[in-house]
Amino acid sequence: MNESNEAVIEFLGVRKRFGTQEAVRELSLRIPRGCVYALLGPNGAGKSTTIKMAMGSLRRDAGSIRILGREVCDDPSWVKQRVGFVGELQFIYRWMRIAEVIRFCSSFYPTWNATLCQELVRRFELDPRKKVRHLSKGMTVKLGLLLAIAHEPEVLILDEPTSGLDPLMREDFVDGILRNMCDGRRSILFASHTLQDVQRLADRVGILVDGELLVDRPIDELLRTTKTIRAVLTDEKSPRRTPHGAIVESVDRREWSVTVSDFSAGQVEQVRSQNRVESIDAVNMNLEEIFKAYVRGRRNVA
Amino acid sequence: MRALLWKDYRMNRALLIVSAFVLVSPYAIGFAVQYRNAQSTGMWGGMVAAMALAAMATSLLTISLLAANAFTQERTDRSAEFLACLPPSRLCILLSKFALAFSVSLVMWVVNLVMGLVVAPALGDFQPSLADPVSFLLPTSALVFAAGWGASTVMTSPVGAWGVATATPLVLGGILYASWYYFGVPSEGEFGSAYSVAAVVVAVVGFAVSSVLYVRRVEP
Amino acid sequence: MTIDPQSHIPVYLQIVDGLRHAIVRGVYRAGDVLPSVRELSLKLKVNPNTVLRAYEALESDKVIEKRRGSGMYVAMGGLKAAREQSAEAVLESLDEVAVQARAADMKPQGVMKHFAQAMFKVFSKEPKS
Repeated sequence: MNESNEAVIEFLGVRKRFGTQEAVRELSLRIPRGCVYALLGPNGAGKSTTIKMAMGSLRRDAGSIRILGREVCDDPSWVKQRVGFVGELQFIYRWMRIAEVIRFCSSFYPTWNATLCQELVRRFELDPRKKVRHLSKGMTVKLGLLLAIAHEPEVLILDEPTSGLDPLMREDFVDGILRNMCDGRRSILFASHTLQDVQRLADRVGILVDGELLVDRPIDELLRTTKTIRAVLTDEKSPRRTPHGAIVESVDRREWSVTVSDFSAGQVEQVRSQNRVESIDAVNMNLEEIFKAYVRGRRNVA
Repeated sequence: MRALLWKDYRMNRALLIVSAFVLVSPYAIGFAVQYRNAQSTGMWGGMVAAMALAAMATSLLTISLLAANAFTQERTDRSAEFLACLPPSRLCILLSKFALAFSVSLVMWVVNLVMGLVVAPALGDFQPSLADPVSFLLPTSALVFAAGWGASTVMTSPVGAWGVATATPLVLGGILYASWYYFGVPSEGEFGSAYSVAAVVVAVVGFAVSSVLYVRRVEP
Repeated sequence: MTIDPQSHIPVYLQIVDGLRHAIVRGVYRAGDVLPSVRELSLKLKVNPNTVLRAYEALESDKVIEKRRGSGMYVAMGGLKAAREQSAEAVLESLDEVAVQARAADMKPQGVMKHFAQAMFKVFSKEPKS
């Protein structure tokens, strides 16, 4: 993979609390250059809070957030010139025409690429004379993406930008990102619920639940080593030994399902030998199933 | 920076037109109404002075509105959040808004002062001079500007900030009145100048403090 | 070749399987140039890093080779290597079938007889070069 060891985004011990509610607990996360990092989590898990803190729109209570080596609070203008951001909702000035928005934004970025911008206007089929208030949601999001990538940033941060878009618009958006950002030198941090997009784009996945980062692993490894072991219990009532690395388990009639995060054939044997079971097998899981397992597992404990 | 100035100008364009109207209409209306009278009595100076005084008073409304609108307008449609993700620093954003609101207010005052203190006396003698009303209106104007500005840095509603701006001189007057009533300070003769000084001090301090706090915060 | 973004199979493995299958079927022959990383990533709508990983895996399996300056090509022994690896995958499926047959409490002879008949039917139909 085209990744060096240099961290372009780094969270260290970041905490944020709203009143009595801990939104983000001791978050530590490192995104190397060239990596596409997907942050997953249920609503209210702290994803948007984390991204707002990375963009400097929200002050953290503790810890440090560094982008391209600079602490975000120390030099927000420097950081913002090198970061492109697309949020869940676009609040671009509604009275401006697209051409005016482009002229306005381009003045703030020394690295603005006018040729690239023209190409994106064409590719996204944006009418420069149209006012932003007359654009559909999909077009506004595409405009937001244009503004974020036309200055060729080193880092792209996205907060559920495709939520509410129809499948065709989503495909255009993903295509826009692939065409312009995924070249091994640029890095992306995106929070998303659209797991198909995550599986297409991400190198690495983090799962944030109730402010805590439960998982931070390469996506291929996550898919390969997270499996559900299903066993039929000979006797429902006899005690069970939960294997190491279990995320969540459940019993339905005589079927005992345990989802583990570090699957190996040895584990299956261990479950068989340590419990009274007949018929045991392991089931592969896709990203959605893994995500749900982690959320359920966390909520069971809490 | 130029882009910011353009943006703030365009956003406030309607307000600027209203301000121009508010500036010109006391003169236009006054002229239309008093023309015959002045022609017969020859008291042009008095007519111009009256119009200038009216214009100074009405300018308080637009000045307070310009200041109250500065930050709140971008909060009503949340475009402040869009701007916050762009490179310009909080200071640049603030300076651009200040440049617009302050320069327009300044122009209004300069026009009215010139008309009232230069043109009117030049057109003929009349009593009383405008120096006294000006010494009340000018500090009040600074006060409503600063109050509108300060309210606008923390509030979301332009109307709400405008309400705070227009209420502030009344509140200050009320405090001084209570102070005179209960403690005898300031004395009756000094009340006017005490008010003017207090208004200017509160305006400058309020403006400085609210601006510094805005620059140091991060929330759009 | 299409990628299923909801599969439990990592995307890079899907690409590896898809390309191997294409080579075995003759879509790409020995010496043919493969799409560039960028081309394939845009066509499949996946991260180029993933395509690169798939190419690296196929390269280490000796199915494809890199020619400096001009990209990835099907290696001379590529078709053979791809066939061998496909064969391995087929045999792995057979292992799976054995496990499932056991779970379904079937008799080995019955399974093997059925399999022999199926093989005969398929192999006597299509002439394969």
